[in-house]
Amino acid sequence: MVSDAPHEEDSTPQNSAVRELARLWVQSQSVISAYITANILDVQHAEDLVQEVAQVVAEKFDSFDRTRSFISWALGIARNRVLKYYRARARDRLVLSENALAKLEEALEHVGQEAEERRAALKVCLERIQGRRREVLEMRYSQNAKVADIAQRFGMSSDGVFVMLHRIRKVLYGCIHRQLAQEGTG
Amino acid sequence: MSDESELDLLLSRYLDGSVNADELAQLESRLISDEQFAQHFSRWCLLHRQISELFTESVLHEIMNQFIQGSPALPKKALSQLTAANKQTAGPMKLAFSDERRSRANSPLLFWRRWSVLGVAAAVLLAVSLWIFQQRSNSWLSEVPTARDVDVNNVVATLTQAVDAVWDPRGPAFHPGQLFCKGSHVALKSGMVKLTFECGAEVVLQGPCDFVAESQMMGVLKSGKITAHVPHRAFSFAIRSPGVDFVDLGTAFGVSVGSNGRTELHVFEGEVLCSQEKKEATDHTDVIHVTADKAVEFQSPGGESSDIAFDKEQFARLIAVRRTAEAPPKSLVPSKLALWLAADADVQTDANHRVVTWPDILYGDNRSAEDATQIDESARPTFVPNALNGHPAVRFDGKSNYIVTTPLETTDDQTVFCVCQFSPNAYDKNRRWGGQILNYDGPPSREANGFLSNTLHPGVLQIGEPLLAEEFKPTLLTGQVFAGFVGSAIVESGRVDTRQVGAELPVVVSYLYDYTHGRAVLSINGRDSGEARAFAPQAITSRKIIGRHAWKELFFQGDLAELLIYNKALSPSELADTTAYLADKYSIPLDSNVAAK
Repeated sequence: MVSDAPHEEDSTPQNSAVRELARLWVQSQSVISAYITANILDVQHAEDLVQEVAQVVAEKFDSFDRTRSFISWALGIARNRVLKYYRARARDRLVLSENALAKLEEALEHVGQEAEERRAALKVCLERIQGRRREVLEMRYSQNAKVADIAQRFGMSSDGVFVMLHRIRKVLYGCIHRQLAQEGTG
Repeated sequence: MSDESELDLLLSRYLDGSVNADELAQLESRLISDEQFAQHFSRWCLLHRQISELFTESVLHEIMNQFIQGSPALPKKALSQLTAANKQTAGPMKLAFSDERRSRANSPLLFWRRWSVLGVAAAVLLAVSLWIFQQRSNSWLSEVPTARDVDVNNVVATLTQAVDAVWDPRGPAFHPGQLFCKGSHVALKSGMVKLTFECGAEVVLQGPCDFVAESQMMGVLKSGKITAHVPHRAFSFAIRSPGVDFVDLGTAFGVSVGSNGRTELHVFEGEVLCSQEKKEATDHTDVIHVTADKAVEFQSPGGESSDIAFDKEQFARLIAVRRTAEAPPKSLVPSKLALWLAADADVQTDANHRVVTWPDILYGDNRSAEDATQIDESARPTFVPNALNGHPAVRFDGKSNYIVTTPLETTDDQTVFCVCQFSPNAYDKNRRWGGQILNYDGPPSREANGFLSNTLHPGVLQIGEPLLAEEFKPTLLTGQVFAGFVGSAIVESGRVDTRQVGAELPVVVSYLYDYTHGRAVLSINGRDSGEARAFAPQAITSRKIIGRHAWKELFFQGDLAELLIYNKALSPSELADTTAYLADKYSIPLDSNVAAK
């Protein structure tokens, strides 16, 4: 048998389940990633947790009740991983309670339907951030720099960087809103 | 500032990790009570994530384009960025699989992984996640250069020892620590090797030998000479030869198969059942029982059997591969001994004095050898001849060194002895987490593989420094059975913390976990350092990890000269005798109060 020969479309139940899992994960991944990134400060650890959740979802997919929402189920797994992460290491920040996390999951599940549109709008909006504000944003998000390091780099106070980041986000948030509204009326 | 604006600022502060307790309470209160705000909050979370994704996307596009095009030069900025990011993950809380990650730090697979994680192509993430899933399941295998793909579910045996082994050039060469999956072919030209099956059966091959590890309970000897020592838990372990199947009934035996098909069986202990294949469909299967000190031969496959003179001597070299205590000390308790590693007993090293195999010494009830091995050169500890009061010890560097036994059956009641000392580097200012000397959650780790939900049953015995940063003190010794979580609380059964024992100060540590009577005691140099309630069962057959935590990169930093595991709670006198023996052997002063008794 030639192992690398092209495979015909396989319609076995196992492959069917893999395709279903792929479809559901693609639809949910941005929300799950957003949930984890919001609650885990360290970017690399957040990435690891996303991987872990993907792993557990793949492992337990056989037991997933198809009458339930996949996002809700996967977010539940993500919450357990986040809580386990909190327990397993010293917390480097204050974090939401379990009840608040559950509430956030519900809301994210609802908002998740907008994720792709919001991402496309954000892409346009990001182009409008220029100059020092863009450099700060890039340093924060592209290089995962700490606020203190950004402050030192630009000769600002840490509070100043916090405020600047907040204002940029606020601008982007408003811009996305307007973009989506225009598309809706267009 | 309006209420909404103020809350938005708090959202930003939460995402940047700078929110204070009052602000968090304010956010939580609103999040729980206000559906609209909850959705607003979640949109901020999406924004936070998507900014990160979009910023990284362009860099990764560049990397992927160059990778796909086979360019030898990656963009410097991107590479340095990824390298920096990688450094961040080098902390001790990295999952155990970071070994695999580290080894691939500059490999294309890492790029694939990051590419996927950042969500540029979610479908790729799934594929990579499945890959990661495979890697994690096989993480402890991934460090092993295998001649064929090893599926964690198909591991049947481990190569635990090699003595002057020369491999048949037509087949793969193996090293101690190698894991074999179902159907693995072992072709030995000369020398000897020992395979320890997952069931506990030990099979020593002498070259030239052609052998197949068929399953966890069966090996196929095509030609050559072997011995098999089969513990009770592996009852009915079988060796198949071209014409005869040998089924163990609680035994030790030797088999040789000549090139002409002539097969001999010599039974050293117990009884072996020989089952010959039928020549024709109408024939009855011949079954012969051969008992200790007896031998039979089969002239050809399916041919007649005949009694021959018992000759154990021809297997003497193979039998000697298993390390038996020659002159065990009288004060060492033989009852229920499960593992005995001593650095002065035939530790096998590579050319750089790094430990390849630390053999389990057979003595008393320890009748099966669960040797500890390390196939990964970079993870091998070092053998140091005069490490501990003039005695040899195995030195763990605190960064990557550890060894793993083959599956060892341990019980709810345990007594563990270690003779060890911490190295001066244990006081490195950068250390924030404790290292472990012994951990029972050997690969495949139940916890790391997601089998842990709330309570872990059975629990995991651990000895070493306290793991968590808030509890960590260098050289402070702790014994416990980790039993999972209840809510956010860690369930630790029988946890006893002793004192900081210091660096370069050899100590005899004993940890007694008496589940039957509900108590655990940790002692240093014979003095009880504390007692705790032992309420969690822990009986399990698992690989025992020596020198690190099961899945966190938390390594022991020091020397280990001797390790004994008993499958029972030793009595006070047994505990005292064994402690005294070890203290005397290594010239370690017992605590004055104990010595006075």
